[in-house]
Amino acid sequence: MAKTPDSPLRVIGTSVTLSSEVQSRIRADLGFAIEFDVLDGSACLRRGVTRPDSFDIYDQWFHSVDVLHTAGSIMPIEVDRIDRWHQMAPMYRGAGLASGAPGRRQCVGRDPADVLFVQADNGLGREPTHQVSMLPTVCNADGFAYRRELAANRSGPESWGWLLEQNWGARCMLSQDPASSVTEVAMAARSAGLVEIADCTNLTIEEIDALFVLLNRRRKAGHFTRTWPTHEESVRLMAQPSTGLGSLWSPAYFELCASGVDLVYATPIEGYRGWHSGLCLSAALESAMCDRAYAYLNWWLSGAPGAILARQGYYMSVTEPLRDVLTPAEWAYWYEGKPATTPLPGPDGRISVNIGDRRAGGSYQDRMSAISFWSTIMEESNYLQRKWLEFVG
Amino acid sequence: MVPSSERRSSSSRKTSDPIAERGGGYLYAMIHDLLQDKIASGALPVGATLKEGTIAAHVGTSRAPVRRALRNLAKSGLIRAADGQGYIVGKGAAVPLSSRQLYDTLNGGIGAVDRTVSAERIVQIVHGAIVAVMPFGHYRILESELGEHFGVSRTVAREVLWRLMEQSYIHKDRKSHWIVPQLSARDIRETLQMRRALEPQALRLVAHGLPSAFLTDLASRIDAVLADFQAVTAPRIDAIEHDICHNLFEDLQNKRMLASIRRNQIPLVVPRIFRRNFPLRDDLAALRLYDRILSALVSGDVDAAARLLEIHLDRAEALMLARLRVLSVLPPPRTDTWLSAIH
Repeated sequence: MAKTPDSPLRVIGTSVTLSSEVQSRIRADLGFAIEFDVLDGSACLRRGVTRPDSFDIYDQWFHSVDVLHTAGSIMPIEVDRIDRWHQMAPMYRGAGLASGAPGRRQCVGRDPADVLFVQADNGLGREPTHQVSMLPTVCNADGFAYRRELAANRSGPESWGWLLEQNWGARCMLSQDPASSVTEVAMAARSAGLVEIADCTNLTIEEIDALFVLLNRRRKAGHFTRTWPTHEESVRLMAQPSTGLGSLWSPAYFELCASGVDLVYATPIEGYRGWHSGLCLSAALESAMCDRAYAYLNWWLSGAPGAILARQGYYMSVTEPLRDVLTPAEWAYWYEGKPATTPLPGPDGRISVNIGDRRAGGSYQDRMSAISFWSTIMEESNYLQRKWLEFVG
Repeated sequence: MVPSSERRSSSSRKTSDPIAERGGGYLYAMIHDLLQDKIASGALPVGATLKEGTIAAHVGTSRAPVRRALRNLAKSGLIRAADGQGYIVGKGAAVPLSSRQLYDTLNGGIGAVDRTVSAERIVQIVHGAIVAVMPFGHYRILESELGEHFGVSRTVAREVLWRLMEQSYIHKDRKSHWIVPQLSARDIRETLQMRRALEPQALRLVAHGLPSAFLTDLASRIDAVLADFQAVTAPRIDAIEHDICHNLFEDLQNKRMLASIRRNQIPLVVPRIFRRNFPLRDDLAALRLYDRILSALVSGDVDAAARLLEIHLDRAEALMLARLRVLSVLPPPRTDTWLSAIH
């Protein structure tokens, strides 16, 4: 049935960005009907690729955007209709997130800037045009978390290699998303000297085979917990005393801190794993829904969602309006990396940051500049996927 | 003899679509039809006793397809089970039929049970099925299940698999299992590297002998597709691609080169599967290049055609890799019992 301007806007995404707080705020601010379908990462990508008729907006990671684009599931976004496009940092406008700042690390993997602009030949690239494949919204630099008491006798810098060390006396957990988890364990295996890997974001068949021999051996020895598919599941798993360390995203880390779990968020010596979220328009978006879809896109850069997500540890592609909605103390802690001068609440109102706390890794600039690899759907993902599913069980 | 231009034209070729072939060529069905005809004509009279082993010996097949044919005839009421002693035609009392009589009755129909044709058709069906799963993982073919599924002996099943192994679609592992290997990104890169080395040169070797009827027919079909690209369907692009990649080289005298070209074209399954599931938008650039290749061939500029083919093969890699990544998101297709995913 054809859509009318009053039809609800259908959004699919993950709990990374579509938290209940965000959903409530969007509905209140935009004043029109929105249907949210919150899926796990793999299911969301599969829906995005195979059923563009089932959504109007796709909210997920940049590393999946070229898959959606090749599948013809998304339509270009007109930059002219994005109110705050001019406020995007230069790194989104051609420079690239991995090479924008002085002193930035050498970085591998799918830099969002590489697939941002729709080119004249319909390919995706970093040469600025008037159309983008995905509107950049939320991003972060991820390390891993570990229980403070288990690391009391450790010396030396924090390293991704810790994920594969077997002397923790507790288990390690990984995310179910191979685009992030496999890059992490590949970095870990290389850092620990367990597998020779040239590029942890683009494994060869031999590297994949060698890595999974190691992972399956560790799994059989009881090194890993089950993988977690959602934010909620990651919180539950990490809260168990038998889990000692593992992949953990910022909202889960701060939620656990608010619950009194004594965790350290690592700043790995090899650098962070970067990821970036964004919003796409479905290729099947009907013209009647276009205005609502662009209103939705513009809302995401308005400041309101950025404030909610900042209190979970996430960053926004447009930061200017955040200064008006975050308190000076919040801005100083979350974006400037300064010690907290007052207790800071998470999105649910509970205190997740205490006076004197300082965010591991420093400021927004420091942390984003320390990204050394991006979440990536690798060239051999077809081969990798089978190995990963076998490992996940 | 079929004129080569007609042979090459995909509009006149036999379908290679496994789905379209499904249902034809089963040995059990042929035996079923043979017995049904003989019963209907009275050559196998009411009361005639039919035993699985005897019939199998007379028609020269294994017992499995005969068993299935008899079971189906019993289901349709033409014959009935005879307490472990085979089947009896109709509802009358059992009438013994000597082995010689049965042989003579079936003898005229043995030609209809042509195992060579059957194996050939099964090869096509099995080929279609394994090609469809190649992007989705490693698969194992169970030889006995394959024979059972198609109602043929293991000898015929093995012959089918050997033929596919000769064409590099499958191989045997160390345990002598038949394996369908997964198509990887590396396969795509390496086979395209080989195609870039072979196909432009092969085109130079065959270009002057290409029948003009074949070239004009192909050129006109490409023109028609380009003129109304929005309305084009996947099978039309598949057919053009088949002519450009496969039929163009059919008369190549260097059979080693031809065999290598064929082997390295196996990854063309990726665009074919992709086109059945996703929009064809990105095929437009290749079609435009095909159009220019055909123009060069029609005008006799073989070097230009070979250079354009090189350009096409250079550009094909990125798109094929991107499409393989998309396929990795899809759930694997459902398969028959003779083909199972292995981890």
